[in-house]
Amino acid sequence: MNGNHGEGSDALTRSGRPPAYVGVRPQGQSLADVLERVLDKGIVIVGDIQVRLLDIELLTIKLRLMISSVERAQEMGINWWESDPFVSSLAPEDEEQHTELQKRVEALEERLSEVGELPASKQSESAR
Amino acid sequence: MTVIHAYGIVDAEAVEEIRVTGIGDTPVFYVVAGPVAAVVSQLDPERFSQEEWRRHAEDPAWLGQVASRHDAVLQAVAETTDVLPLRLPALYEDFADLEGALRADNDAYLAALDAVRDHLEWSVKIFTTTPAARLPEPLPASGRDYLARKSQAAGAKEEAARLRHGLVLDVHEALALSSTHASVNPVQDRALSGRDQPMLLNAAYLVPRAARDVFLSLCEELADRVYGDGLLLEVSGPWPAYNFAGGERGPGLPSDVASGAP
Repeated sequence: MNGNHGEGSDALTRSGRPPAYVGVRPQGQSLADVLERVLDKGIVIVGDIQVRLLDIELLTIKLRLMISSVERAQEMGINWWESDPFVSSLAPEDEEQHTELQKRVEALEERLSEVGELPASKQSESAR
Repeated sequence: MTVIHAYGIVDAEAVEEIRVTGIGDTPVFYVVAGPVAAVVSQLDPERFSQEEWRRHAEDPAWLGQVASRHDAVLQAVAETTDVLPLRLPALYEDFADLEGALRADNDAYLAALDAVRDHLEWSVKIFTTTPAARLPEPLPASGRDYLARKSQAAGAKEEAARLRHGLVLDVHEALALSSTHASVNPVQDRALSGRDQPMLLNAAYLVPRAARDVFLSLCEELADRVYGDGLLLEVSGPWPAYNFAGGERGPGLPSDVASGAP
């Protein structure tokens, strides 16, 4: 082991498989991984101001939908996801997947509003 | 009005100069409370008021940016010292509130810090490399032949899923044995992972900083071993110890591992 696990290597390992590593942080993580940790893990200090954020699954899918149009994301000045290999390989989405994701968003929003977990506010544009 | 955001908790004696910018390009500093200190930054009260947080609670662009900055700060801190990540957002209206909250639970935070001391988290995922095998389908000679073939195909598929499930459990067990703690999270489906292939394992391992290379060598070895059976093992890290900070989830159980059934 030479300790060089950096991403970007095209070399195949001896067994013929691609290298096992997505990459060493901070470049090699996916958006879903970050959200999964930041919004769902970690400790909560008693006494802070409670703000309930969006369900992670819904948030991630919405993000994918939104950035599926690279141009639109650039218009909005969003480029931090460009270093996310999963996200950038996904954009632009094919039409079929886009529709499928939109259906997921609608189903999730319906479920959440039934449970009453979603903050009472208007549906975001991407969900229409 | 003041808006303070806390990113994580460190040992008070580990406090040192930090060069990373926080949410909204704010300078990051520490609030010391006895033996522990919070990593904080003071946010623009207009852009990051409680109302703004609530208003953007459903806004993926806003939250995505904030979440990735929160993570970047913790990542920078974790490079040099052990840190307990706080869940996003951790907002305070004044420094005294934050300090008071930290002091009230000093012992608990110290114990949680002890649990991750000199450790970092590594994420290991397993995907299948091939879509479910399609068996060749010449015309059946009879109805009975058709049914027999169909049940045989179903059996083969089940067998393959069982084999993969066993391999995934083996990998998890080997990694869990060579790490201090393990946590198995729900697998991300295609929409979340952005992949075409199903994810069979989504786990995090708490690994001593000093054992990094040994752990990565083991991952490499395991990746080699399972690749021939159609499994792709991926590692990412190191992460701050999000999964082991003492948040809601306990250590994962192998029974949480997905079977890989479509």
